[in-house]
Amino acid sequence: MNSHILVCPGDINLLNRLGGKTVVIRLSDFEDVTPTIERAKHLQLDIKCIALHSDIPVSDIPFNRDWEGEPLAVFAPDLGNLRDFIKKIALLRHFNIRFYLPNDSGGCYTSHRILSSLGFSVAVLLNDDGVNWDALCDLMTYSLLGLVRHAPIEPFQYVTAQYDRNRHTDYASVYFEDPTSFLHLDGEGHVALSPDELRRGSFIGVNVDEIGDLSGNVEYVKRIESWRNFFLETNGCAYCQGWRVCLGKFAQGRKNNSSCKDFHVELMDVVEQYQTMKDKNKTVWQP
Amino acid sequence: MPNILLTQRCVRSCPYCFANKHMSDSAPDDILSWEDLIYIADFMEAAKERRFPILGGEPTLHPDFNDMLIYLLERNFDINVFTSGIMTNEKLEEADLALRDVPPERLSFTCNLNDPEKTHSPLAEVESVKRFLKVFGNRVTAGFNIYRSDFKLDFIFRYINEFGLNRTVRLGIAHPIPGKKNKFIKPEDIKAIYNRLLSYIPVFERLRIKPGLDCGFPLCLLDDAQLGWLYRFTGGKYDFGCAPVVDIGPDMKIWSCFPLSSFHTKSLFEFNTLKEVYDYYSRIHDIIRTEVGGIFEECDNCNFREEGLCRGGCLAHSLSNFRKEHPLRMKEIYM
Repeated sequence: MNSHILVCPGDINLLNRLGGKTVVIRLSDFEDVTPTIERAKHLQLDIKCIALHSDIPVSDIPFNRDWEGEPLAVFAPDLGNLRDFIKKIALLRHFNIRFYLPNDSGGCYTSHRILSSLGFSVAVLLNDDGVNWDALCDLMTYSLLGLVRHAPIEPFQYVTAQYDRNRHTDYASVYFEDPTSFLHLDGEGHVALSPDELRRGSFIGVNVDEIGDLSGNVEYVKRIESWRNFFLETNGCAYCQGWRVCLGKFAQGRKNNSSCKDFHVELMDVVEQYQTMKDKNKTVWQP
Repeated sequence: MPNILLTQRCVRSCPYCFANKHMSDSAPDDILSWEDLIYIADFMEAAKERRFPILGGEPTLHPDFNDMLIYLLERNFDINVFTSGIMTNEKLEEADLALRDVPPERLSFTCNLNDPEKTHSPLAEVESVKRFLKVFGNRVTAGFNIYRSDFKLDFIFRYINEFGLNRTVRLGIAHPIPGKKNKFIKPEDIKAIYNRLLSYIPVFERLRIKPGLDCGFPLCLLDDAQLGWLYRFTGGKYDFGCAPVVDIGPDMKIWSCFPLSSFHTKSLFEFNTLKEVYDYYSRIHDIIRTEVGGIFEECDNCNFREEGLCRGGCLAHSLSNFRKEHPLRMKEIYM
């Protein structure tokens, strides 16, 4: 249990109870960022990052110089006005920041590409039924096989770093959704295994300290073993070529459209190509 | 460095236009996408090319024109935009607001001007150009395409003084588009063009405005006195060349230059580096040059050409002439 990162709101009473733990603090009010960071540091919490959920575009967020160097995950509906964003670039260059954006209205993940090419790490927010798989494949190719260096685009960079052709690679961690790494807390301290379960009020315990060793927690074990269920369906995701990196994340949408398979197969191909190229670039020692 | 076409749509229909074909053939949604712009920017960056010339059509017609410029500037490219200067007041105000703080050495315009007396231009267009020059004058170089031998430069001199434009005029000579009909200067008329151009020497000197010659001007038709004046007055920045410029269209098609826009068209995606692109089109140019030296018969045995001082005028003349013959030459010529 101690190795888990706790994703929690910035509630002061809750933070007081989490002393010494590694946390991702969820915030939605920009004015809370600086005092929450100060409070967390005072409590000697290990801040993995501040997950700032914005309902306004990135270009309109009032970024504060005090946030410089602090690990930030900014979830926003879109990039917004490019010119307004570029006015903020000089400040943002000093930030330790990753932007999480859904697909944009044009459907081509243009904002992700712009941000990455300008040197900002970005992650694609994938939802089950709104993914433009062809465009996502183009973005992945750009991310991994681009002509010049640019900032990482997730989850592609994560898969590249973790990929082993003989094992599963689960990129849920990019979104703090891997229950073997992250637990999600509400303001009362109730513990859930995913953001979705947190929203639904499906908890595995009422208090982090009471949970104890998770390997003995029935709900937890059931949840982390749930991937086995895919093998019980005769034509389920487990029989798909993309299974090793997808792990059934898009099972719901797959019933209507199997493009997720093509994407994940392509992802593995490109990652293997990328790794091969990287191996070729090994340099011999120099005198 | 290649020119990048944001769109092939245009607001004018100039009689000499090299791009005439592309204007008329272009689809209504014929604009460069962000994905392709970023690919081109990467392609240029990989070639360590920091200059980014933007063309059209009329590039300001691209709905994301200002944003794309700001993006490219942020990526550290220096931009030159070739424009007619014709745009709505709203567009002009928006461009002014977006671009006014960019240093002129990072963002410049070449404004292609037509003489209102010689080329039909509605008054509204002329006024629009003047508004553009008033706003962006300090970063504008006047461009003028010569397609008739009785051209006048007086209006350009007036614009340069009135709006504070750069004191260089980019002078282009209209070339034929092989297989198409556009107004252009025939090789036998080029001497007259030189004479008319250099009749302005007293004005050039008085106003300290330098004539800059674009590609396709032949060296041999200048006499020593004319050549001497040009070199002395401008610092000798002439190469009398004709080489692949390379244009990249909004659909990522590429070609050697506008007059050769339907000749050996490829896709940028067929090449891995900018060097590969230039090598390809240079080879094509060389093949044609082995068939015919230049626009005059004398080009075949010309010392200037052999020593690389002149390329023998625009290749489009030779290709146009080949089309009138029975196709007996190398196959590359007819592609």
